[in-house]
Amino acid sequence: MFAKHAMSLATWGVLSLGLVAGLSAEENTPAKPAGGSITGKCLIDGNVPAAGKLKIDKDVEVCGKRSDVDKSLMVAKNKGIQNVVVSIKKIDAPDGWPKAQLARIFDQKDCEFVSRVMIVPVGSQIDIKNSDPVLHNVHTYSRRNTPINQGIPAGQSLKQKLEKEETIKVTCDVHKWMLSWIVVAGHPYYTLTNEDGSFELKNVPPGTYELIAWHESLGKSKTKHKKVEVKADGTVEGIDFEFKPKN
Amino acid sequence: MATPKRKTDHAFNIQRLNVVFLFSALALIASVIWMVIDDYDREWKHFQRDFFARDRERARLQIEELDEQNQAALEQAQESKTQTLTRIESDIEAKRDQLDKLQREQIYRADQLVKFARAKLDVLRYEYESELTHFRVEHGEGRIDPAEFPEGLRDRYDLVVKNEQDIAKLSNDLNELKKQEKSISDELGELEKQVTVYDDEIRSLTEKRDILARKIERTESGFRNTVLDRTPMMDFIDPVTKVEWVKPPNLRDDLNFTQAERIDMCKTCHMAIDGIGYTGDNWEHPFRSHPRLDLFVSPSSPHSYLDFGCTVCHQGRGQDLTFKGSAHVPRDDAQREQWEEKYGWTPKAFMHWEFPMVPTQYIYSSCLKCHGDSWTIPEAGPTTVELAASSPAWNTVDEGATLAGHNSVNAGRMIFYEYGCHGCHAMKDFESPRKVGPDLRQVGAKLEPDWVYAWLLDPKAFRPTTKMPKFFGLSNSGGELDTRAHREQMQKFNQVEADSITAFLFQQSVPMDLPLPDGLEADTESGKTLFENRGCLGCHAVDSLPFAPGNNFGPNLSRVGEKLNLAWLYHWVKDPKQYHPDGRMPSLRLEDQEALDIASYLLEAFQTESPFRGSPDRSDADYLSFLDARIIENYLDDLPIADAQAKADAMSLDQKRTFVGQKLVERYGCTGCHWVNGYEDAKGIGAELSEHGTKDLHTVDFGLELHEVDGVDRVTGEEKTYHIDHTLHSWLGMKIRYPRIFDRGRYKAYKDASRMPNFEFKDDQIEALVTYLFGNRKELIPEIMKANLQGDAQVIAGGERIIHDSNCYGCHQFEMHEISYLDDDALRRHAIGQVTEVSVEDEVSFFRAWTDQIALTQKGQTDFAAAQTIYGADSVPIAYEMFSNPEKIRMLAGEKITDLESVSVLDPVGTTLELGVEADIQADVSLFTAIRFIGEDGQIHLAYGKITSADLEEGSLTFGLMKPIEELGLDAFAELELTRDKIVQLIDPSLALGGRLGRSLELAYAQNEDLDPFDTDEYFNDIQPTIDPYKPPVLFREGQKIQTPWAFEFLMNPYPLRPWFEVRMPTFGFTQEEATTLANYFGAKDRRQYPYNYYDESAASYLAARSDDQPEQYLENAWALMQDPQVNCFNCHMQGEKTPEGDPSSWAPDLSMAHERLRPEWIRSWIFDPQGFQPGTKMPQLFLSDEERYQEAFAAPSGHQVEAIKDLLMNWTASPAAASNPR
Ligand SMILES: [Cu+2]
Repeated sequence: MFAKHAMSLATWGVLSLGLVAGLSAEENTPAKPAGGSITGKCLIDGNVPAAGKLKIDKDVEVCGKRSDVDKSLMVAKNKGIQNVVVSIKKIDAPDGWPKAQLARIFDQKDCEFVSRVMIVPVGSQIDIKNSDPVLHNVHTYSRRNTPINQGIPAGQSLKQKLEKEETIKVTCDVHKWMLSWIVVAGHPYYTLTNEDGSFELKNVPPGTYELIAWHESLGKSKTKHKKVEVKADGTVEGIDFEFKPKN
Repeated sequence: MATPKRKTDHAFNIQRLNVVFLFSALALIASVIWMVIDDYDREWKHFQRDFFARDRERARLQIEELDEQNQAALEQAQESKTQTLTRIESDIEAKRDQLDKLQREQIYRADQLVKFARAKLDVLRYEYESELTHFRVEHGEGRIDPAEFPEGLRDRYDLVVKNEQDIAKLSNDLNELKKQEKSISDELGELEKQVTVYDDEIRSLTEKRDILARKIERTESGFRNTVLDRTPMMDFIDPVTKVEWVKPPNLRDDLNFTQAERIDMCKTCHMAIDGIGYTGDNWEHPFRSHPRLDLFVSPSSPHSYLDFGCTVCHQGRGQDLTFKGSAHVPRDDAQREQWEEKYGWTPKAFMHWEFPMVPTQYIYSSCLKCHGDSWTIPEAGPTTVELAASSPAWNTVDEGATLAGHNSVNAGRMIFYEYGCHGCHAMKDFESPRKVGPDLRQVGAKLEPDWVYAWLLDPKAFRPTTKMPKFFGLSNSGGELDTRAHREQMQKFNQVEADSITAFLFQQSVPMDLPLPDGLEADTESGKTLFENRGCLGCHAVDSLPFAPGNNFGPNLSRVGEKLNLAWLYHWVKDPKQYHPDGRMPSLRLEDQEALDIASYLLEAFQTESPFRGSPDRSDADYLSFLDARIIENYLDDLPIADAQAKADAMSLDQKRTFVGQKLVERYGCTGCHWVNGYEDAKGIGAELSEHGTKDLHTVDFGLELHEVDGVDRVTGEEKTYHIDHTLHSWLGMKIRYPRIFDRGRYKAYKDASRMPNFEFKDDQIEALVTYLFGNRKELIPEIMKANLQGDAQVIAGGERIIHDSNCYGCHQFEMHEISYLDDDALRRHAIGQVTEVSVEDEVSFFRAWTDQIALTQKGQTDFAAAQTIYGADSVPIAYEMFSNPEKIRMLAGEKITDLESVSVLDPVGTTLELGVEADIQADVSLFTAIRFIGEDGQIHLAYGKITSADLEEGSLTFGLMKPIEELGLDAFAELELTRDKIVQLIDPSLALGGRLGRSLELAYAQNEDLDPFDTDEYFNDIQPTIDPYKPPVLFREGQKIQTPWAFEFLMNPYPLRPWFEVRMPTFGFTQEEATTLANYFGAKDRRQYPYNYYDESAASYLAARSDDQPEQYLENAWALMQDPQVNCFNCHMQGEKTPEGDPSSWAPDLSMAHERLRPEWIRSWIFDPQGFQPGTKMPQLFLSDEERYQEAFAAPSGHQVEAIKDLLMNWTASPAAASNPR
């Protein structure tokens, strides 16, 4: 399974969207009554902002290789926002989820965390790697899990278990611009938006739910979707979220 | 002529005498009976009998409970015992028989045989030896071979030998049998053990029950109880009810002319005082447990019953056995009424005893008797005035009723000091007090007369948080409580006084040259940034940051623009000591431009639309006549009225005003708080209060039968009737609340009228002050009983005082939060650390431990102090290093840590605890944010939890509760919505612990960036990480870190340690003595060697020993390690002038200073496990105990690598580092 996503990573060459799919109920909850899907878009309420630039001012030999585009907010021409975490609020995980605690790789390459936003099931172990020839330190701003701040020398790695649900900010204190997010999910109904801001939550058991959307720099969407009714094998469309740009 | 006498032998009439005898005998019998009955009927005996009965009832219930609880187990045990018995009874029996048989038959016989053989041998030996003697006589001495014996002797010899052999054989047989016996008896023992195991279990199950049963028996059954103790006159023989007393060995009663041993008999009625669990609704006084057995009464507490007794704290008459006679004093009216009904109590009860009991709410005042030399008395309440306002919530223990309202003597003392009470009232605690108000000797340069006039009339109208009291418009000067008819007249009169004082103050003022710097242009934008970031907010509050918690050490600056002028403010900001040499405002070493920017910003930004000014109509006839009257009255003592009038007439208006003003400054004692020219040596005008707690009530002025005053609650604004009891504390409270109220209804000449100003204290501040004043008593306490701080404790107390006076807490956090909670196994644990999240939504909160958690459960405790006892004087994090690197264990503070295994298996520092509703969190207000608010019922409530969102403009907020508020029916994690008018007080955790500036910086940043500082995500992901690098450092465990001599130098002359800081350590102008005390404080607090500590790291022999006699190579290698790209300390750390790449906010302190500044053992531990010291620090952990890294740069285990880096840092100047970065 992992190989497939590694390939998709290679294909896209950027973020770890593929990893997210690993969470989908499809793969983790076998033999359940067919669920429905929820689709929609996350859009910015205003003009499309230009992507910011980062100041790469340390270890330039290595770090200069990365792009200096600030990925904290990526909005497509259609106003779709990438990397919004969309999830169902207060829903129980299906029995037997997650099926297995797979180690997730959390890599650092060219002074950038390979995944910008990564969703992992609660209880997962992540394998923090450093594929660069320079030192990185991984500093997690956990509030619920026990935080770490460890130097990871070139080519080495560190295993870390994530026991509690939360969204964790991860930085490297050596390279101020390095930033990533790990969403420790308590159930499989989490997803990330694509480049065009669209998302799909699959295999949702029939029922009525509240949906929430969160973006790393825009925060929680003020749009309310409190009663989304999902029917077996049906698709609920048009669950759009709007985000107010900052300032 | 003698008259015939009655013929009698007696000089008295027997018959009549018989009658007299009869009656006196009857009277005697009656009085004896009366005496006996009265004795039997004594109050305390009723209490005891009552207590015994109830205690028996309690024991019975406990027995029942135990029975119920243990029934199953007991039956099980009994059942198992029976079963086992049946199962193995025959075996046991058989074994016993076998043993018995063996013993009886075989062993006995064998034993007998051995004994007989021995007896026989003795006879044979005798015979042989006596014959041998004969033989020797004949053949002479010398060694003789038995082979040469004659036949008879030879036979005897052989017989002896044979018998000896027989005995050996017989003994052997016996031993064999004994071995058999032992093995059988062991087997039997094993068998029996299968049964006795249940006996033990049964015993352990019934042990407690038996004790309880004996307790019941002791006071219930038997001849002693049923007959002796229940029969008057017989009950002295072997009483069950008897007087319980204690005689503290070192305490005496002072009877003025002599001293007597102090005997406290309080326990006679308070029988359960040392018992555990006599609490709750079922146990009312006198049958309650002491609410703080951890501190008092119990033998293991620091104030044990045997050593301290009762009256040393509670006062009262310890030797009296009646309720009234022992001088109980009611807490309040409700209790008084209750007592009057129940015990027939009257106020006269304590009139004839000099030391009536301390009402419970003031009980902590007694701490002052022995602990007066502490700056803060441990356990006697919070220190900060702000916290005092929340005293009802502080430390409620289990005794809701008595302790809920108790007051903080620490806060009382702090209020006394901060509000400058000592300016008028001498007090032994504050012998050389500073003047708390601003210096007025150059007031003309600072203020305008019209502002001063308006200010004097009502200071709080301008600044509600000011400490300046109100002198005018009080209950005897035309205020709302003035019941006299001429209030309006009085108000005019007040105007004359305020105007005159103003005139005098400006007349005495000395001019000041205040040039503004040439050629500088003020930039108010930069002024705003500087004001927010330089550190001003560490002491000053402004209303535009409504939740910046309690920075009221300096004045609130919200309206400062209406008050001051640029020239003065510029100089004040730049060099405060120029205007006020002994003021507390420190210098921030600002540039001219910076000072100008800040001053301009303050003047521009902080003002309201209606400037605060005022002046009287000086042509008004009343004004003039009042002014004249003041002058005339002043001369009347010496001059006839006409001459006095002439004096007044000769003065100009201004002369009149300054003349009257000067008299008023003297009258009101303004010089107690302010420097005024010509009054440098003025004495305080009030009464000394050093022994006020024992003031004779007869000398207290209660006014004209004043029993109640209709006033206003200063928190809720509601009308409230305040009662005045005939007690000292009641009087003190009223005197502080309405200082001139006792003038009510009396005619008093102007010069005799009360003149104490009104500080407008709130009720709980008043309670705290009364507690403090009440504790200042004239009483004989032997030195041996006093705390008499010494050594570290004394250094710490001295340091705390300086820390308070310099408001170090305003900027630095000194302590972490502390909680106690129940873990999953329902064990009570403590943790020191910080709250990381309170989620109303998920009904859970998280707490990050800064100390090791479970290590300490070995002792059932998990606090830091306990960790120190377990691990010696060192902290837990250092213990971590120990297990990482056992071969490097060094003697640290004289304690060697050997028990490493217990450390390695425990949750490390930084572990995050999850605390749900069921976690049963206990905390004081220092833990979570607390808020006092006016609930729907109109009462003030206190809530613990966290602000979950806030509208900074409106000042409204929502608050997530951590603990339920039962009175309002609110559950834990309920959300409270509050508007500003309902918020009485916000108590931020940092208040108790210091570091308020950090909060203010965060709030200012949030406001500027349009972030919500109360949104958990925005706070933890953005605000906190952004602001953390700019916050003044946390000084928790600072003593472990810094070298004392460096601290001294730094305090005397601060310099930028962290060049990226915008906030600045001010220059306080400490004396050398102060700086020494403060530097030592850190060492003392964290139990490190101070002031000097020898470090051998830089000795040649040390380096040689570490490096096979190649110190240069050793340091060379260490230097290579530090520069290795995988370690590269200088990625973040500065080294002298050399700064790292990148943005300054990611920089770290200069390593070239480490050898002067840091303790080597700290450096090593810190490098090894930074998170173990300071969870969340930006310093990454680079060296792991179980992994070898960086071997190309420095081939050694990680422990050696860290050691080498430390050694290089300590030898910086002699190392390659210094060579490559000349300083
Ligand atoms: Cu990095």
